[in-house]
Amino acid sequence: MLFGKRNLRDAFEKQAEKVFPSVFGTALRLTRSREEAEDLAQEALVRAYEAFERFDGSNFKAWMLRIVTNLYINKYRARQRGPQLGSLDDEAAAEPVAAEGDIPDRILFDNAVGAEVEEALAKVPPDFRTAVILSDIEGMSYQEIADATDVPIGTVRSRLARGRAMLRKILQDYAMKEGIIKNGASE
Amino acid sequence: MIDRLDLHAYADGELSPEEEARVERLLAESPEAARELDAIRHLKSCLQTKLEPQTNTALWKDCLGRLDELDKVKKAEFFVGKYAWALCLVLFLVIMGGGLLTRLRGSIGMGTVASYSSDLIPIRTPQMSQPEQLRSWVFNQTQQHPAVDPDPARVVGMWYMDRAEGGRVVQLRMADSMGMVDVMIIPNVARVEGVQPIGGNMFAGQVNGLNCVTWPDSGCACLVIGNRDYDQLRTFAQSLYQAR
Repeated sequence: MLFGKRNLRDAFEKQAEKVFPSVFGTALRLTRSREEAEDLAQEALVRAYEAFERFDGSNFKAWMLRIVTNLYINKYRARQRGPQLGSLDDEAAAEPVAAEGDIPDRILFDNAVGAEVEEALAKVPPDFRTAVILSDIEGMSYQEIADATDVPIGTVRSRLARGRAMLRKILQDYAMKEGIIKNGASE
Repeated sequence: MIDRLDLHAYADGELSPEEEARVERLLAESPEAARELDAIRHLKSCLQTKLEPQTNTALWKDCLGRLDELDKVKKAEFFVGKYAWALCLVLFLVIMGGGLLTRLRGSIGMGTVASYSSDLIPIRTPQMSQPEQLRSWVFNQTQQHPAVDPDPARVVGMWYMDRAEGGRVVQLRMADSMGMVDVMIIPNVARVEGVQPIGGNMFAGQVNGLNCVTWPDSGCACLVIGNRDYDQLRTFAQSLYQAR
């Protein structure tokens, strides 16, 4: 397939190298396991290389992340154990991101460090986490997320809303526990 | 009342210009919605700025190694896929050529030997009393040094036949105490097909229903054919061979 087309390999390598941190980062945040993330990223890269001649040339990063997400959903997630918080049926119930206690988000998020955010994100159930990762970290559009996760755009919208609300709640709980905020006010 | 999902879509830039204008009107009227939008934007910003990019140079090198392996496999598959017919053709030609070469280099079947027997032309036996004379005569007839050195006293008849492939087939009929046997010398034939090895360089088979012992010698196929068992024919053949 790619034999005799060295320029194709070069083109693939050039584009893949640019987006590889996103590929591995997404794999890591989806699987929450370094070993599995390495396997997932490597497998995704091989699949992408095999299919590179069919790539339409529009958005390589979105195409790669779509492969990563599809692989994760079809293969890795099925292997992972543990309770899946939040069902797909109750997605429509969008929760407010802003808490009722009027905690200033500037205080909540400015004081959070990367490791805490990563930890909080890891606690969000997979379907919602996937939507948040692809949208807020990787900057994919709703349509691209819908394609990657094979769900309608409406589901993507509701998963994002719920995922963000869950993430904010986890960060807020953490901030209260650490004494960064107290009863909805900054210390 | 503003739809929360629209608020998220507004923050993500996923609304049409008309929808955006509608949401902006509602936001101006609702401080709660504005606060909610602010929270969404803060969260997005937090995720974009607080999380470190995940670099993994070793993994990238491993991936390139996998791609190299994949290229090698594809290369082999491509070559086999594209040239399979040519490889098959070459193999077929090699087999055919080998067979043909074997034929050309002097391999004949027992059926051919039998057909030679029926096409032989009698030769008036020259009057020779010495083995050297007979050897010289056979050489002249076959253009080969005789593989056998028959006793002229025992030769009772001679025949010949010119092969289409070249060379003259000579047959001597010889007599001893057990009766008569035919000794056939076929030039330019390395081996006779359809025979079984019986030790040494000798082989046994049948020609026209008669037992036959054959062996190669000096580019000729020598055959002793007679109504005797193989051991007797082999003894006769060995006596001829050793007398050379």
